[in-house]
Amino acid sequence: MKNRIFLSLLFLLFFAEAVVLFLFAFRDTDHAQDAVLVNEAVHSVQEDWNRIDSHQNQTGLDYVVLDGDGTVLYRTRPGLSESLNAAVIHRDTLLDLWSGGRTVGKLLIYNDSAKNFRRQKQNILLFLAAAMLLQGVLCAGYVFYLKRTVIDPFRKLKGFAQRIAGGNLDIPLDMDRQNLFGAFTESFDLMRTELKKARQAEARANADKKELVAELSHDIKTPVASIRAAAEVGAALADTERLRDNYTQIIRKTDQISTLINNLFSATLEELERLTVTPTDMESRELGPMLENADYLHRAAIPAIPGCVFYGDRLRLQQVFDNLFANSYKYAGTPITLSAAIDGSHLIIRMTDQGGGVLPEELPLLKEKFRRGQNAARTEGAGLGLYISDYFMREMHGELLIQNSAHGLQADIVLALSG
Amino acid sequence: MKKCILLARSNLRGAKGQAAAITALILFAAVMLNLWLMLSLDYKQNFDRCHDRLHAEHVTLVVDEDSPDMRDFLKKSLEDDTRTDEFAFDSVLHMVGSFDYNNGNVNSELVILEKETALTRSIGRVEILEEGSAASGVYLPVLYKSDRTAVGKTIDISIGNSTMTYTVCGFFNSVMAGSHNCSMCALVLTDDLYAELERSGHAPRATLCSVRLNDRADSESYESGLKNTVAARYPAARTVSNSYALVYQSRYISQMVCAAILSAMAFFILLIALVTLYSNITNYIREHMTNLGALKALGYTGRQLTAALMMQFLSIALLSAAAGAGLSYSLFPYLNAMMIAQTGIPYTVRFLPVPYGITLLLLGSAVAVTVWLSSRRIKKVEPIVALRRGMQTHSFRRNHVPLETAGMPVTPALALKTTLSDFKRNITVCITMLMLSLVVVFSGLMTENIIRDTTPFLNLIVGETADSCINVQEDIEDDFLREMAADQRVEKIYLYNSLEVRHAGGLGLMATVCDDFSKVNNPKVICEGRFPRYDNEIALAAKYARENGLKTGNEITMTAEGREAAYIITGFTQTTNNLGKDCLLTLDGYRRLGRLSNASYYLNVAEGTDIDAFHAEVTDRFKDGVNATVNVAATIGGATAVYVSLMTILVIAILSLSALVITFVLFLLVRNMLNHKKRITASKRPWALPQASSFCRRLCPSCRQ
Amino acid sequence: MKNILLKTEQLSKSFSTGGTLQHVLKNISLELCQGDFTVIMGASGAGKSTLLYALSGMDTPSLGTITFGGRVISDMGQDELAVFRRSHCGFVFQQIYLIEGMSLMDNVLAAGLLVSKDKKALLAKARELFSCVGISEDTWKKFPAQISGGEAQRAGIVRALINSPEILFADEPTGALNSKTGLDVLDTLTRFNEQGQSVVMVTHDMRSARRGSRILYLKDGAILGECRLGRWAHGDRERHEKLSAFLSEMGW
Repeated sequence: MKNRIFLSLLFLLFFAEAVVLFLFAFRDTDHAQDAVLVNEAVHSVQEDWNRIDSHQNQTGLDYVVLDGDGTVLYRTRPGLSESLNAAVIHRDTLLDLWSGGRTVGKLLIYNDSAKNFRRQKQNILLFLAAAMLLQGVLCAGYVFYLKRTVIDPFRKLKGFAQRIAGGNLDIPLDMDRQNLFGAFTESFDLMRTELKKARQAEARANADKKELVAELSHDIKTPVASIRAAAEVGAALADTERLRDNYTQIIRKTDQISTLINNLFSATLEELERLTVTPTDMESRELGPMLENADYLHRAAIPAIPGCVFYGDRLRLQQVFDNLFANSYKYAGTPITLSAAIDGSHLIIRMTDQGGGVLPEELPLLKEKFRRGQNAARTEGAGLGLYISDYFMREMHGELLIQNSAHGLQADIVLALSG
Repeated sequence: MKKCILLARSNLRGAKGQAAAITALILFAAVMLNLWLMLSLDYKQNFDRCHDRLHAEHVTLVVDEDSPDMRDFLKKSLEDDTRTDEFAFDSVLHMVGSFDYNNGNVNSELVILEKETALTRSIGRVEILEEGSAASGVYLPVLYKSDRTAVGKTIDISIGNSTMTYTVCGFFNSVMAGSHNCSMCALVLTDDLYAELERSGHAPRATLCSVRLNDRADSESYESGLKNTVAARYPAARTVSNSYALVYQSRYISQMVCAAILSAMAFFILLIALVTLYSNITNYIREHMTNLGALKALGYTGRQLTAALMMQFLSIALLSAAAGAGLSYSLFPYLNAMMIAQTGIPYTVRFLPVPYGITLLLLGSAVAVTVWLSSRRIKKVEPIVALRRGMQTHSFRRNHVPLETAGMPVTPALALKTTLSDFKRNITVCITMLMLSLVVVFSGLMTENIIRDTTPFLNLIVGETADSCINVQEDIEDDFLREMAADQRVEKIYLYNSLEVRHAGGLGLMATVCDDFSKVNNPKVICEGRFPRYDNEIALAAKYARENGLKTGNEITMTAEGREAAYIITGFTQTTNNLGKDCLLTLDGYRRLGRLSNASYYLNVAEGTDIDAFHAEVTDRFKDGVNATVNVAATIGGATAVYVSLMTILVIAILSLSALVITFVLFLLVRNMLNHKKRITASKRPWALPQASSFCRRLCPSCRQ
Repeated sequence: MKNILLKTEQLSKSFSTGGTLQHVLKNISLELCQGDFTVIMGASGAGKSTLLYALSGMDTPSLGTITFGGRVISDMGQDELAVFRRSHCGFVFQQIYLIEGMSLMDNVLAAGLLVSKDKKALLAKARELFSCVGISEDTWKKFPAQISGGEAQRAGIVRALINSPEILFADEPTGALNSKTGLDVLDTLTRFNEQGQSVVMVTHDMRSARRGSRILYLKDGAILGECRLGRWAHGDRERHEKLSAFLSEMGW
């Protein structure tokens, strides 16, 4: 709105300037002589002919009165053409003066078009200067407006990004929802808060983990130590070699268990439990854009999704889709078939690729932590994606089912219908 | 269809007052509209009808010479002109004269006809409208009929320097010479009086030449051409002439003014009626939201509901428009009488189907469009929403001045909220008030400038005014001036003489010659430039200059009495006199063309001087040297009295109509407001909240106790 | 197998209030049969009325389909729905909504004339219905403002039935009435139902609910449970207890 007003103002101004310039360029600048004034001058001089010395100029014109011999009888001011020739050169108006029925002299009316021209020029220059000034002010205003609405937010965003890069997640982005970038910057701030939440959860999980690991190690180590001690006693008291071997085996295994215990919790993923899922009622038509969003390589055609309301968390569901698509891209790299259908009280989104699937025995393990299929050796990953996705889906009262189909892997995202 | 009738009837039952008010408003609008249409569509045609009926002329020329030689000359020149259709000559008497009219007096070129001649002329026949029993007397144009001038009464008519007393025998209608506005005024005398007047020599014999043209559009140029032809051959003969165009325009000026005012009023009332209708319907929709919802639930479509409303209001509109247009016929005779007093052409009121049809069509379509526009919302409303919203205070609109973000104290914020949420009603009030104040200002201006103080109006219409005008012969001019200069009563005297000149290559113009324009009473006659000062200067009518592309400083050639001279244009005049065909010349300037054989002088006399007595004194002193004296003040008084009475009637009509409209609109508004309040108190919503939230009562004016 | 009149699939309705979507109805799939007296119960805000209006074609659902008498009405436009409603649905409202400016008879005719052009037959039918609901000729000449709430509601029922709709939709028909007149109205409804008129009624009143042959309990926009009762008979203890048990199970 503001923009449009400003632009139309500017345009109007330009138009006015163009018109003025056009007029200046093409207008006939030579003013016509005012015949009525001239007539008045002639008549007043003729009336005063016999007492020309006392003649008063009433017309505002500049003129010189010559007698028949060319002698100057009267002049309104010095500096005018005072002979016929000078008048001709200056393009002055020459008129006969009559008195008593015969010409008695000449009236030379000074040509002032040069003066008029200069005045006109000045007027145009003044107008142009004013217009330019106005334009300048308008432009400055617009620049200021742009600075306020575009450049400043960007500058703020730059500092914000630097802070985030530096790990300072506490300072919120100062947002102005009214401006052009309000919504844009808002998502940046959303990113910050999510990051911060994740960071805090991580820290808390880490602390908890340490605690738990310490606790559990202690708790588990104690009985294991008792088992070991008992086994040692047993070994010492063993009368047969075979029995002693068995005890030694127990001792070795308890040692192994201790090591394992020590290692086990270093890899706990307690923080997973901190990833909150807050499902709400969602309309199935929202799924289309989400799928489209996840399928950034456009390998799938978005299917018609039957209209229904289901239970889901927009953010987490998007993550699930992202993960499934990313997996398919990574491991299969084929076109993906998508379909959606309602089955009883569930809405099922089925994703099938043509990458040949996985070994049947690996199937049940795919959703476990740190599990990766055979074919995953060449690609990077922690083996957590499907585990997390499955966790999300279960939190949404749904399920993630993975199985082999005729040509590749088939993932069913099962969403619970509301109600 | 039946169901729409059912709905319309039910709607009407609930809103009798509103329906009555709208009926009344549309009725007024229809009256005005029909009057206007009748005036503008048929009234002017009446002139043509009258013109045709009397087989009237397109160009009239009176030449003060009645010789066979003259007639032969005229006959030849008329026959030579291919534009001539037919023509006729009559012998008449022609002289400047005056008689009493409307508290003032008519001063005109009198063309006196003998009764038989007048009635039997082959062209431009006179039609006797009213006739008394007197065998000998005068017939006057019907325009001059009044209480004082009636059949059987006597009238003093001054013809030239003598005053004649005649019995009024009757009134007649003459298309081209029936009013002082047409540059000549006809009088009809019975044969005995005509012979007597002819014998007395007060009025010279003249030839009345009436010409009908093939194409009446040529009348103006034909007239000036003919006059020039005559002037070239008989430079000394006094002539007077007019043309169809001039008469047509001058006789219908007031009719046009009246029609314009009527149309303005009609559209103004129509607009108010439509605005009221609009707010009424939107209000109806608001009030009857639940009903509309219920009807929609039953299966009525938006179109059917709109159709019911449309039928309801359209039938009201058409019925009241028909009634209003009918009513206008009962008012038309009064308007007609007023108009006849202006035009002097009789008009019989009869039923006119075209204006009637147009009135119905215009009002019907305006109402239909308004109903359609205002009821569009019905279509959009979903039944469920209507039912739900109906229960609450259905606010369709957005939250104006949200209190959460409003950066102002609560009281003004609440006030602003209320104002904005009633935006539509406020607009109705605004439009109505705006229109009404416009009307009041207009009436005020008319009252101030025309009725109370006629000077500005006179300056505009008449141009130059003085107290007295005396026309003297050339030979006594010097004595007269000397005498006047010595007279204590005369404050100012200046030559102000009108005569005809002709723009070479253009039309004939009425030239006003003045010895010194600095003396004139109304310098505003010049609207651009200045008065002429030297003998080669001229001021020209702005209208004429515009039409001919002339500017100040240009030189134009004028001809008169067979001579030519060039003049520089110094300025433009603007008066409605002579229909924009006049010019100003200095006395010296005119002398380059011709000689003034007699001169009219305008005089301003001291306050309290009896002008008529003064005239008598002057006439007595100079005897035959004085051609005519005119009591200008009285003449103007007579002419303006008609205008003033017309304007007075108009202003009264407009004001009373406005008062009526205000009453109706206020009635509707108050009614709506009361309904609205009732509903609010019933639902207790908008104010219940501030109260319930222990909102300070002081802030909430409607809760103050 | 009873004749299925109305069938919905995944019927959902959401309103947007202040930018957030509110789901009032969620995935409702149900079938209504010819001759059923279906009662929709639930706490306020459960979406009862919304469901009723969606079923009756007053409101278009956001998602899902409604098939009414073999026609899919969920994707009809406003006007198309209005025309459909005329002959297929009758409405009885809590606030009755008789048109104030019309007599009771005119109110009925205003609905009847939408379908039938035969005024005589229409009048005869209206008279019959009026006498059926116990409204005398004196009363049906009166205006809505002149009569009692019970009479008005019975007139409302006449108006709803004038076009012999397939289903009569009643939105808390006794909500604005006292218990005596409320009973009259319920008796009227029951009688028409016994004559074969299918009725769908929304109520949160146990006494009204008892009249139904099928009770649907709505919670948070979804059908939480359903209970089928036999035909209404006055003083049927067992029926009453079955309903009470069902309602208490639903958390009524």
